[in-house]
Amino acid sequence: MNKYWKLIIIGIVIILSIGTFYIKSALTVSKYPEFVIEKQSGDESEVDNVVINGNYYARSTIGESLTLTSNGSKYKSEQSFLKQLDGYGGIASIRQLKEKHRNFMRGKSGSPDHFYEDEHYLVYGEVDYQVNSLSPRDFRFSISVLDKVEDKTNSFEIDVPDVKELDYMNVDDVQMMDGKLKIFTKNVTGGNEAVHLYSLDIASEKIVDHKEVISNEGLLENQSGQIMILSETNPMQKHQNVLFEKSVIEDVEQSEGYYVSEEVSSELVAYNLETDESHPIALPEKIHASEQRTMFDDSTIYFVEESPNDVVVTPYLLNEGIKGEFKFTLRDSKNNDASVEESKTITINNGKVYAVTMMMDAKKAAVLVVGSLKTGKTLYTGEIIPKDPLKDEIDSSLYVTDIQIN
Amino acid sequence: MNRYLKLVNFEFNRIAKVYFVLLAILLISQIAGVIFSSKNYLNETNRMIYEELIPKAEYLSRYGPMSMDQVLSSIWFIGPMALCVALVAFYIFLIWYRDWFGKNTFIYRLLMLPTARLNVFLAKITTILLMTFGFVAFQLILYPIESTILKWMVPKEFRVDLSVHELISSSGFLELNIIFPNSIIEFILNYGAGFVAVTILFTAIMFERSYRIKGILLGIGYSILAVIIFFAPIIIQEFLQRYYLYPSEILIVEVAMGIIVTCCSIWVSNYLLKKKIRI
Repeated sequence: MNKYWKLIIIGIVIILSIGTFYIKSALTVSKYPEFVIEKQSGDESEVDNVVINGNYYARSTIGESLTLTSNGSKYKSEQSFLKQLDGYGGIASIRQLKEKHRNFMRGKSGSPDHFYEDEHYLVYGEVDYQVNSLSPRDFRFSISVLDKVEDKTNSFEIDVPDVKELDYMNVDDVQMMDGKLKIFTKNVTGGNEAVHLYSLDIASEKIVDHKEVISNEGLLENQSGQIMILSETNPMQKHQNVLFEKSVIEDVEQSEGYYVSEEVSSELVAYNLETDESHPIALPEKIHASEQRTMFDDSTIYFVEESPNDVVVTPYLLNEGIKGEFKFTLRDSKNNDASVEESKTITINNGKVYAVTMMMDAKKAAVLVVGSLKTGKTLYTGEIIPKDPLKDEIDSSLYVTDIQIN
Repeated sequence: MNRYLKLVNFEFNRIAKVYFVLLAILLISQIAGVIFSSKNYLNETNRMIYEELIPKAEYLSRYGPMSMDQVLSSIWFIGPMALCVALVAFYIFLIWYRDWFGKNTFIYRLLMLPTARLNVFLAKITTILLMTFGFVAFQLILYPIESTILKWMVPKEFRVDLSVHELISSSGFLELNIIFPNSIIEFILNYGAGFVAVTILFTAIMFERSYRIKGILLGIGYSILAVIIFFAPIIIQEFLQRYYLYPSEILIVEVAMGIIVTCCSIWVSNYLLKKKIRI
């Protein structure tokens, strides 16, 4: 036995050292502070479905990402390794789809714009193309339809028609109406953007209609057109209208041959899927769409404006015009003013606005407000605070990266 | 089993002297690094505060506090670590070739031992593993000692104490995450992949030792084949449907491929050692 002493020693050292190192680091993970959402006023059930992602920093160098819900906080490193692999964070709605329909979601993109869901169907539509040295080509729609009632999946691919001049295209929204799939795409030709609508018959797996629905016309030589879909509060849900912001960009020559891009005009255009018509929206004077954040859910556009301590939401109903102007104040219990440069993370879901200030540290708490966009009432105010007082107060902080509603 | 242990012991003892000398270099150099870096920092701090009359708070916000981070980036610290990595990488080849090109062709005696020749192969690969884990373990023991020395030398208000993980994530050497991963599972995966790579290399060496010049080509061919087989699930997925498998499923498939490739390598090596090896 004696002659093995070197082996025995090195074996023991390896097991003890590496063993204790990993046991210790497993224990220190839970040493990060736990955060909670503490109610100040309102109804606690309003935040049951709120998920806040953020990063916790201590001593300004160490960052650890965490998820915060009404049940408390959970750090990324507390998740199992396999769960971390399959996507921690990310978009909540996509993650839920992956959990519910694991096989259907194989190989699908992570963008909610490419999905449509109702009680009966879950539909996915995306454009695949091959990239060669000159330009992308061989554009194909790749479609998957899941019949949730009969639990049947139908996947197919169709060539996109009329793509000769096309530089690039991507899917903006997928809708379903009377058994037909409606795919809105943004097609870019020679630097100009236009929105196209493709109608596909699911049963026969054929494209039955294709037209350009929104485009920029009469552009001058130094101008280019941009069209963006307004972000929807829930892109997967069925809706009658789709909204786009259309703008014209002009290259203005500065001194010495420098060019600067300037937006010369912009307007909102609504496309109605039932009547198959598009019409511009004449916004009242006081709203200038391009300077504010806008969100859209079927019949209402929400214009969101922030100031250091407030969030002001102006709902605009497509057929009725402006309906009120609602102001929600975010102020922590110590009544600190937010700094001017500090922005908020805001989302709108189901006629409610959710806003959270982005930073929490020893001096001030992050504030969460839930407000109704029908009545303008503040439904809930709360603060994100550490469950137990922080040890290294001065240097610790929590940054909110996004807020999602499940 | 007993034969195998004897061989491991024998193989380890052959490198033990060099190995322990390197551990000593690691110890002395790193501790010297901690002392030098701390001394430098303190001298600079004293000069700034007492000669240039910069207030303490301003000095800290401008130059930052002292931490193991600064020690890590010095050649005293990272240098001997690189030396250890280099030794292991080099010894993967030397552990075989020294038996052929040493003073007397030692391989002759090794292969004549009344035991399965595969045991020689396994003993050598175990030695490589022991050396690797030994370095990792020793570094993990050293780190708290070095941290303590830093604590003795630099007063608390000028110092930030970092754990190993914090040190790696705040330093520029993210490669160190491969050597000291965050969780035990990643540790097993990383070193498992390393083990697969070493078995492939050993097999390539066996090819070379069996067929000499022709064997080099065979060895390279085998290595490429093994790598292709190992990554086959990912390659196939790229061609058929991207992202078809979830990352956790890819991991499981890759672990299986790693086991398959390792078994193939050991089986091929066993065959070559038994039937084809030249002395």
